[in-house]
Amino acid sequence: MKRNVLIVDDSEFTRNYHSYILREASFEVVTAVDGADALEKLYSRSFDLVLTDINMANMDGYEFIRRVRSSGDYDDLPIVIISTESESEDKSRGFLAGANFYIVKPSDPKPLIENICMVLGIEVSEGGHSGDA
Amino acid sequence: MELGDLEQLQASFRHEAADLLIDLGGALLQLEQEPLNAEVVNRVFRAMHTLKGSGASAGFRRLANFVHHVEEVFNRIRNQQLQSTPELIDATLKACDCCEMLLELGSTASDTPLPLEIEVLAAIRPFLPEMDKATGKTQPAKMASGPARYKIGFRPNREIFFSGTDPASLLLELTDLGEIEIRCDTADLLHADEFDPEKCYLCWEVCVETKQPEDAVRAVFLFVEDDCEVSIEREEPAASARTESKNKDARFRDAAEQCFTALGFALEQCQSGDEKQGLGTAHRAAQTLISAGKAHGHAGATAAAGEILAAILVVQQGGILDAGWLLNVRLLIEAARIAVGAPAAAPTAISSQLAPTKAAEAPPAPEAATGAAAASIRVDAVKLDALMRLAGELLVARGALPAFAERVELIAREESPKSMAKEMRDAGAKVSRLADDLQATVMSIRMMPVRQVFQRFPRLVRDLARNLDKNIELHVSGEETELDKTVIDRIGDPLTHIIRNAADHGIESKADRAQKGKSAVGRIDLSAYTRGSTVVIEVKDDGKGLDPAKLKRRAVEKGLLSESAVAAMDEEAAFKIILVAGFSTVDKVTDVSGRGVGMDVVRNGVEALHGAVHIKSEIGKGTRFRIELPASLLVSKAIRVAVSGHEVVLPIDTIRNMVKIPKSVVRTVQGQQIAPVRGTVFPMLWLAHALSFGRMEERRAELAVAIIEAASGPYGLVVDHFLGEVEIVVKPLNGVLAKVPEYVGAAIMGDGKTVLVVNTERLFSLQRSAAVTQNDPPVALPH
Repeated sequence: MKRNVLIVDDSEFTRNYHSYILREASFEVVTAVDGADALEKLYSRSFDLVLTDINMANMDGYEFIRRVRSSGDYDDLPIVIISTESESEDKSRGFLAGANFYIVKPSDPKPLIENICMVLGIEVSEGGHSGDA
Repeated sequence: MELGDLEQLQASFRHEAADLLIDLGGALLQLEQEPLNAEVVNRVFRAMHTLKGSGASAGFRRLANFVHHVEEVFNRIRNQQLQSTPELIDATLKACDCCEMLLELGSTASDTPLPLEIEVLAAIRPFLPEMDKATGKTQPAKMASGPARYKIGFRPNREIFFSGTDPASLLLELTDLGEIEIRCDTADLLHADEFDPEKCYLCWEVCVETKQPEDAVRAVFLFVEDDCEVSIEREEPAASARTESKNKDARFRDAAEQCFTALGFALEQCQSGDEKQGLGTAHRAAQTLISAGKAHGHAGATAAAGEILAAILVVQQGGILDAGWLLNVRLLIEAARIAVGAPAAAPTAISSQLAPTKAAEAPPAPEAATGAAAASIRVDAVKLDALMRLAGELLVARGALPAFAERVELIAREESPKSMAKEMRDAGAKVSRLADDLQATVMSIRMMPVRQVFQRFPRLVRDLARNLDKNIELHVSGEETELDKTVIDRIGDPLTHIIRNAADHGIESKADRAQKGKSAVGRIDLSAYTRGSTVVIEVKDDGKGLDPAKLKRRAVEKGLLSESAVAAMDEEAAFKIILVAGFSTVDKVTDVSGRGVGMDVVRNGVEALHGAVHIKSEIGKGTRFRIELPASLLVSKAIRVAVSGHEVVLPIDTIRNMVKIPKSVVRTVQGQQIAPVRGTVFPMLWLAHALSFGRMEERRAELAVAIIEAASGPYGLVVDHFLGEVEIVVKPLNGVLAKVPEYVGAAIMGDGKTVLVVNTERLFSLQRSAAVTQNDPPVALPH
């Protein structure tokens, strides 16, 4: 079963790069350019996980996550932050806003996939090689 | 990964890197002004960090490695081990230039350092006393710049050759990193029953000692690591040989540790009174730990996390959150920590969790968007042009529909064609609306903030000021003003020349300013604003101003203009002498400007964009350049007119109004026909005459006149009939016609016919200059 991931990042490169890594690991990917865009996309279909940046111009990651959580419809949707900010304070803000997990950018492909699989509770090989099966 | 993917990835990295470098440049200039502003230091650091990380991911190893050194300096500033100095800012700005070069070179860059690279590294060396030594202390281990030893296991997929990858080239890439030992394992080759020359039977074990960050080593294998078995381990005294599965263990422990951290934050929040939010956070952290445990097949951790979740659920479902519960949860967390195999938290960590801290306050408001990192869309210029053309042609095509409907109506004798005509009209209206929307959307994509050009000038002015030993401040406003992409792309050079000129010739030296009692700091104002469909860009300096008499004298001395020509010039015309090719007012040629080339670029550049330059200046007070540009260049409205049996179009933006006047009011004064229109007298020009079309229709008692607003003054253009308004896409003329100044281009009409667009702006002045040489009477005129 392919899992759907919503990637939220205002950097085109990062969107492409993360999309590439996730697609290679057999995830379905939808991208959004900022929090506002992500909210719209989120309502358009169902996702298994959201991978979001923090520093974005038009609605940042914290606000985006807060809105998703406050809607009440997505209490169980895993949200993973991926940000260059690595301070404990940033992580604290992220978790308190409603994130499940925090990855410091840049992340190599393998740990990124492993971390996402861990948050999803699926074995890495399941996400990584379902294309071969 | 297919080559196309890699190229796409690298192309998008180039775009991003260009943006980051611009952002970085801006931040550095701000840092120079405010060396202690921690937020700016952070902005610089983050930009570099992203540049490095993304660069390594996209295969720009040289760039990533270079940036790493500079980033390290800013890490030290961030940690208050260093203070920013103008020399450091200088070196870092050069580093930005160097990054641009490395971007150009791309992933194919050889390892020979660029001269600029050496210069920058030498300049920042003093800020990095331990640059060449391996130190784990000041740097994050992963990005250590000291030599580190990596043990790499590389077992290519047997089919690797089919993906177009040559394992040998990867090994060669590794040799670029530093000292290397390679062992080749031929066991599989020897034991293969049947040897297939198109398959790869070899695998390698490589030890490489390098100063490059670990990401650079990983980057070599970035695009094969999914197909091949690749293991990369940093050989450290503490953890020398980690296997791949141990890596996975470590990542699970890291993930679990993160969940414990989140649980810690959550409990603090519960204690500070925000129970609901805190419990939500705790719930998610416990849930995430359960998932991670499941994913990693760690039953003990999963079970322990389940107990935490159960305790949280009790309170979430109405239980009481008290000190007893908190203690219980903390114990469960410690138990889970032990289960995961992570070392138990040190006592200090626990006490810090128990003590209420300010971190437990309500979540702070989202911070304002940092800097100018506005969301933007990148659109391939080729695609955009195609879309533009389509939108333009759709507009033109819909113009044919109502005319068609009219014709059907005319020949209709029965009911059905009539209703068909109505349907066609409706369809036409719909197409019309769609086309308008499409055009508006596409135009808005083409419109870009002028910031894209303006952002290079703070650096320019700063460098100029340093070179010229002057104090100059640049004040920029109206960066949001939008202009067509074509204009944005081409207005940079003219503006650069104006600003250079202002800094070099406008702003006086420090001594002169002091002597004149002016403020020590010279000021250049760069502003942009919209006025109707025109965008105005102004460059104003408070320097010594232009002397019209001196300019005139100089132009005559240089043989550029005759005595009589300059004598007839008004002040503004005299100022514009500086825009003439080959003109320079300074005796001393400086590094910056003053070679007598350049300022003509301003006039040519602006005119090519159908814009105009105006100059105002006052001796001793300063000079103002004002550039007026059309906000958009492509689709425009026009009036179709008939003249002597021909059809041409007049651009609507130069037409003030269209009137009919009796023939009898036209008079001739000193060889010029004039006529009053609504109380004002305008010179009249017969379009048929101006375009050499022969005689006008003479049987009418009324003249159709368009009052044209030209830069040289308004005039009345007499045509036979006005045929209506159209939207046109103006295409420049080629070949012989390109040299005919009476036309600006050709327009394609709805019925596919091509019609010439009259250059109403210049038509009158062309005619007047022609009249001086030939005294033929114009076509028959009414008297």
